[in-house]
Amino acid sequence: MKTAPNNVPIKSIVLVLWAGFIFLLSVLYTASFNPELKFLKYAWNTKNNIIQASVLDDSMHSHKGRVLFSGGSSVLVGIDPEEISRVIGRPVLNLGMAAGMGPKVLSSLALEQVREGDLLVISLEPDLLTLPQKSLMLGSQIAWITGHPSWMAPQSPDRWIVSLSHLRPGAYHALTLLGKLITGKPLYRYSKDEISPNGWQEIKADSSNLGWPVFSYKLTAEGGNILKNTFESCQQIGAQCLYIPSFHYCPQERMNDHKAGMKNFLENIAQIMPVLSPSDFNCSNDEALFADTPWHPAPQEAIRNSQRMASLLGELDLGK
Amino acid sequence: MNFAEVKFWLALGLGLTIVSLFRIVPMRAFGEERDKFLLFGLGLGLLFFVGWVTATVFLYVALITYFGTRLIVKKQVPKKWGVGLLAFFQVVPLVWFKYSYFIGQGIFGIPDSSLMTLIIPVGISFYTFQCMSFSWDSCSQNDGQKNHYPKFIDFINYAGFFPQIVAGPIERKKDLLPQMQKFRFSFDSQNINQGSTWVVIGLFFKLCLADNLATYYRPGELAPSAWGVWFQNVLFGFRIYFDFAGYSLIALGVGKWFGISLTINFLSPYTQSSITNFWRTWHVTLSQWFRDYIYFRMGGNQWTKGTIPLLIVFFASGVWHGAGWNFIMWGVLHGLMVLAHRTLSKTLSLPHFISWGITIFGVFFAWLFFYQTDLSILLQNLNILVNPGAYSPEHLKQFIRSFGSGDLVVIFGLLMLVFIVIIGEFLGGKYQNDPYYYFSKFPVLLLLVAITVVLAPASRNAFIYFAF
Repeated sequence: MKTAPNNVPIKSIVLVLWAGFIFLLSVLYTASFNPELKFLKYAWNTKNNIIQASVLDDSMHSHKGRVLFSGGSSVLVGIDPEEISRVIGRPVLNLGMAAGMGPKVLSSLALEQVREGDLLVISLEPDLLTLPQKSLMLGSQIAWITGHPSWMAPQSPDRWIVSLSHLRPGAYHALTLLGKLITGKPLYRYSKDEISPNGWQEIKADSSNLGWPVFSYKLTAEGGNILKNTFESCQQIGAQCLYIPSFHYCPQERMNDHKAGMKNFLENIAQIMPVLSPSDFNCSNDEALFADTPWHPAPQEAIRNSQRMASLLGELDLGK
Repeated sequence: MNFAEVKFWLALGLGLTIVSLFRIVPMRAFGEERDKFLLFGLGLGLLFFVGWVTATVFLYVALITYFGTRLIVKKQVPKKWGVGLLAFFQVVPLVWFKYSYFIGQGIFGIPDSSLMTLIIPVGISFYTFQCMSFSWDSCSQNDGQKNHYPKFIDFINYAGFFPQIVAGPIERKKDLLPQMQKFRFSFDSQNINQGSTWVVIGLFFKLCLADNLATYYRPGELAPSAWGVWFQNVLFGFRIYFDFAGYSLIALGVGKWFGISLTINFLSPYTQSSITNFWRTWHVTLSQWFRDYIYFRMGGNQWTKGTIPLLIVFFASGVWHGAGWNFIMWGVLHGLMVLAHRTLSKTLSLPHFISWGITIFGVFFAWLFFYQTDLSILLQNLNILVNPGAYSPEHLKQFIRSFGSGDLVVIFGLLMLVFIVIIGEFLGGKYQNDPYYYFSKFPVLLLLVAITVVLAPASRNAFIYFAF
């Protein structure tokens, strides 16, 4: 190639270096300052401490299979493990994090903890299993900053690069943060002190506009594969696995359609793994029972939801 | 050849490394043509990287075009039926891969699921049209190069120049072939800087705007209200523009890195104040192709004052975009809008802003026919749009409630960005005769890089026009 000494594309080089610099700033922000990730990292560390303690307890005492609840924030907010443990007499762990992490990361995270004799209760929010999953940013970010990049399971060099490239804010985070800064709202709606030592988030946020859950009621191929892999992995480990729908809100005018859809959705899942569900599909039209989203019961309702879970599990032969 | 994917850039980097190694070792066998063969090898390698079917179909179309056209030009085959026969062989793969299911199922009602599962080779509509234009220009009496039929290596680089092979721009022989005939790998900082400018703007369009808008594009999931349908129309209209214009700009930039100038395919279509101008600035190279090879060859304005040729052009444009009745309806609707504009503009003069509003309304209304491939949903949505009751405040409230508060903030932020970009294009077009003028300024480029790095979503959507 003809190259002259002064033939240096300075402008292009500056643009590339600038892109690299902005990316590094983004990584720094993601790892250290992003309020959502700080909260989720704290939630994970709390859960991880409980997991380690349960493993220690398991090795020191006679083996009692644990019950692990896996899912997004509907589990984080809706399951009080102590309440369930008190009823069923087995150690219960709440592994719920955030639905935005995506079903793949949430199930990888759960599978990493499952041991022989455990029962894994999957309560992934239906939208994670019925809509194409595109937004994997939060999943990658949590995986990297908690030191578990394997949760993303990148299988080729370019997937590793893609996974690393997720250590940026993204439009949703950046624009909503900007909105909060402009309007003077708190930068993140949840705080660390909502996380109980047992891993349950006792939510304080409130909202007058719940909206309603949007999903298609038909399991996607990707969603089906994730459930199938999780179920088969549990079988290989010698653990049980089943699906229970999370407690959620639905407005009265949509209730009939929603219930018909949920029936179809759970029938889809039942072809892959056992399903346990209350007759109302764990759905309520009472807005007062919910905090800030259709998937987040207020604390008192979360305790009642945990009691319902406990009685559902009580129908199983868990071998207390 | 998805510019939005990391693996494309890794493959390109690997390809260029191999090219550089070949250039260090003297290769007397290739002589003067060495760089051209290396460019061909690079392009073919990247095409095989996309898929062997894609590469094989391209090679078939290119070979049949080159040798078939040569037979006609050298008068070994009579031009009269030679051109038609050649066109037939050129479009066979396009018809087979893209239209066989539609023709079988949609027109003749023959159910054959095996045809439905055919994967359309990426870029087939683009390079088929480019090859056809090569043949027709070569056979035309006015072609200056008639007696100098190009070498095969120059032709194949013209037909398969990798930045533009999969989604255009559809280049003409007179514009691209001479550049390929003179092609040498050279390191020219001006070209590289100019190319980088286009790539940065293109990546901003694609990754920051199109891909972020795509996360809210869910035509089947919203509550059925007119607000929801219009929202999807607007979202799709901006998404497809930034997606395709973004791709075209990146192609332009990568081409420039190699010292090749390609045609700018989008000249700020959404700031145009007539549907006719919209089509002069939207997918420019395709519009020109239809104008030159169909409209003018059918007599243009000489026949039925251009009415029938124009409707045929837009019918063909609809068919080109996709195998489905909805695409045909979209094309014909645009044809009717252009005809209406032609007729009314002779007697009616509207203020610029009003005529812009009417144009934009028509274009965004028509997008419904483009993205909604399910005819029953399409008709249902049309019903909703014409029903005044579907615009009630209660429907609006329901529509807004279907989003989380965070989503509303993000949608507002993205639409503000879109608005700023469209204004920038308008001002650049009006005062500098270049819609990208302000975006090309270095401080703005730095800003675009920063915004793209921060805001680009995790998921990459394939370029919409890859499907065509």
